[in-house]
This record gives sequence, C-alpha cells and structure tokens, in this order.
Amino acid sequence: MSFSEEIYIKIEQYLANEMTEKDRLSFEKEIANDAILAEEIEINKQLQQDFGETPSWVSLQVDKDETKELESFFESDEAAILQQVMLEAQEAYKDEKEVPVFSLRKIAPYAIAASIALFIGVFSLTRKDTAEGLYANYSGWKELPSLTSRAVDENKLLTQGEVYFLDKQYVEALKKFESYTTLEKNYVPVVSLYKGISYMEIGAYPKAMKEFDTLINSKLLDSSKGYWYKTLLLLKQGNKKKAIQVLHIITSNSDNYNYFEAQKILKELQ
Amino acid sequence: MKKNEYFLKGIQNTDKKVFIDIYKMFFPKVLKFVLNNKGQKEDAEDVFQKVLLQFSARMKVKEFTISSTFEGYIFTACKNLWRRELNKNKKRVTTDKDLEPIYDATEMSVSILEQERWEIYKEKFELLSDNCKEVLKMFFEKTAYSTIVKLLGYSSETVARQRVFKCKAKLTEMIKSDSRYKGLQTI
Repeated sequence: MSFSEEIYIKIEQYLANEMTEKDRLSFEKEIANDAILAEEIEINKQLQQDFGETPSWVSLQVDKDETKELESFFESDEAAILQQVMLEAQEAYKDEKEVPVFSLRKIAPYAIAASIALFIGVFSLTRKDTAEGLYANYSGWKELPSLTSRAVDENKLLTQGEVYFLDKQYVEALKKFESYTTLEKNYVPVVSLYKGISYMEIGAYPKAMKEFDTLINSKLLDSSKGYWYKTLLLLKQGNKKKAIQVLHIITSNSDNYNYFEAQKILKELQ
Repeated sequence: MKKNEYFLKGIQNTDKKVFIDIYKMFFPKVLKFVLNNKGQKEDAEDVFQKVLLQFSARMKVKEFTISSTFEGYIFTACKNLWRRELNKNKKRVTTDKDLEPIYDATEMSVSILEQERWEIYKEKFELLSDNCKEVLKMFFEKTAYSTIVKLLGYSSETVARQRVFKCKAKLTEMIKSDSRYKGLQTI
C-alpha cells in the first residue's frame, strides 16, 4: 500500500523538521490515527538513520521479550569467559605487534646491530623455551583429585565439569564450575584449582591468577597448592623471574605442596 | 585466506588462537576507519570487541550464520556500530585500565537488533534497480533536489522528487512485508 505524493512530501517535511507548527500538529494528529502511516514514518526515520547522516541517534526501543534471550547470554558466565578470552587475545595481538620487524633491504648497514638483536632474540627464545618446557612437563593434571563425590554436588555440576575438563573442553568445564560456585556458598579449594587450571589453559591468565591467589589466601589445608599452580601459570606466561620468587616461597617450608619438585625446578631455572 | 568456517568454529569454541588471528587480520582496518572518523585507538578496540561479542551472541542464541565473508561482516558491523556510537554522542566511560570493560546487556542486545535491522534494509535496498539505489542514496545523504536533478539528469525537481518517492515506497513496502522486520518493530 503506498501513499499519495502529497503524503510523501509531508513525511519528508515532517522528518526534516520543515513544517510550520500548525502543520506539524495536524500531521501528528493524522499519524496518531493511522497506524499504517505511523509505520511508514518509522521506517523512513530508520532508513534515514541507517543510510544517511543523522545529528543524533535514537536507539531502537524494543520489546523486552525480544532481547530476553540475548540479555541472559550477555549476563552468563559463558559471555564473561568469552570476553576474558577476547581481552587476552587483544593483549597477545598487541604484544606481537610490538616486536620489531627488520626489512631485508635495511639490514646490510645495520648488520652488527641486527646480529646483536638476533642474539638477544635467540637468547630470549631459549629462555622462554625452558619456562614453557617446564610448564609442559607439569601440566598433565594427573595429580588432581577427582571431583566426583568430593563435595556436595546435587546438580552433578562438578561431575559434568570434570568430564569436560578431562576431555580438555575447558570452556564447557568452566561453565559448570562457575555455575557450581554461584550455587554453593562455601569455598571449595579443589573446585578453585580446577577453575584456575581451566582458565590458565584457555589463556585467561588474570582469572587464573585470581583463583590461585584466593586459594593461597584461604589458609586452608590445601592452600600451598596455590603457590605451585601459580608457578606453573607464571612459567606458561614466560615470566621466569616471578616464577622463581614463588618457587622460593614453596621451598621455604618443607610442608608445602611439591616442595622437592620446586627445588628441582629452581635449580633448572637458575 | 582463511575460510569463514575457521573463524566461526573458533568463536563457537572460544578459541583464543582464532581470536588472535581475527585481531591480526581484521583489526587494523577497523582501527584505520575509527581513527579517520573522529575516534581514538581505544574506541576502535571497544567497538571491535563489542562486535565480536555480539557476533558470538547471535551465533549462540539465534543460530545465525553469515552469507558474506567473515571479514565483510566484521568490518561493516564495526562501521555501523561506530557510526551509532558517534551519533549517540555518548561519552566514553573511561575505566581503570586494569578493569575489564563491562558491557550493558540491554545495550548490547539492542545493538544486535539494530544490526539485524540494518541487514534487512541493506538486503532490500540491494534488490532495487540501479537507478533507484542511486537516487535514494543521494536522498539519504541529504543531497539537495537541485543537485540530484543536475547529477542524474532529471528534467525537473518535481520529476526527481517523484522518483525518490516511488523508490522509497518500493523499499518500505519490501521491508514491511519481510517477516523478520515484524520481530524488530519498535513499540
């Protein structure tokens, strides 16, 4: 159904704010009584916004039902994890970009400088290799106690999470663990460990660090495990210096988890 | 060139490696666009992340797939979002650098619907004749009728005006009869 040319001119004038006060009021009355005309104006307004220049944007006003599902997604743990991973990716991208690139043509005059840079490059590469190699050695996660029937788990969230974890589906595992933590008020150290390791595996380092620090600060029986996994996290990030600091804490008390392993790694790193 | 499937699967699985690739391949173009359009680097990062999040949400909640290339989608969506943000004149909330930006769930959802609406409009617009597209584009860009007459060779402003009305009527008719549009109507 289309309108007369006269109406189209009115629509255009109305949207461009070119009507006299009197005409505008009478046209608005017309709009109020004519749903089809109102819809036409709405689409025209939106088209103008989407394709043209608009001084100020009017956000789409939507029915809550339309956005309910989307909103609950944005509020979910899944979205939080996703956002975390994306932030990490953004950081990794920035770090990578900051590595200087040498153009072949320019290398000749700077041969000496370049070879020094190359030397440093190789040196830091090997250093990073040690850290990452150590991480690889210790990241089998076989030492973790099973979550099955370890804690109150009415909804089988931990059991399901553990299955995902063993299958290396860390994001799925985290969804279960996070739901568990939301439901269960009491702090369960072993769940924190599983969470921390899952975050570490997907590269969400700050979140992983938070879990391990919480464990350390909990002063519970297992809290020294926090130091061990924090060390692994630092090794994975290639932060040798900080890893050594934490290893020193572990080796300061023979009661600490993996006391002997920590001594071994310290020797290797120094 | 990596295929759509690679990116879609990576997003589905929250694969950090794929996200790094997405940044490497597509972020520079978005950055350039934002910098050229009154924005800062932080704005580009913000828009890029929002679009990726919104894309994931559409995939997960609405079982959405793209018909264009992934690159095309991301770039257009970023462009649209940045235009909207600019026009909203909303001041960027500067948060502590160490804090993660927390996006408002409602705002993000509305933004998705705005993008969906834009996609329907664009799809219908492309169905118009070349002549209609040309004249409407000028109209939406607020080109004066006298200029349209000159550039497109119409005999008078009245003729140009009639042409615009006809093309616009056709476009709105197509939009209204699309079932997807019904779900996006304003209240």
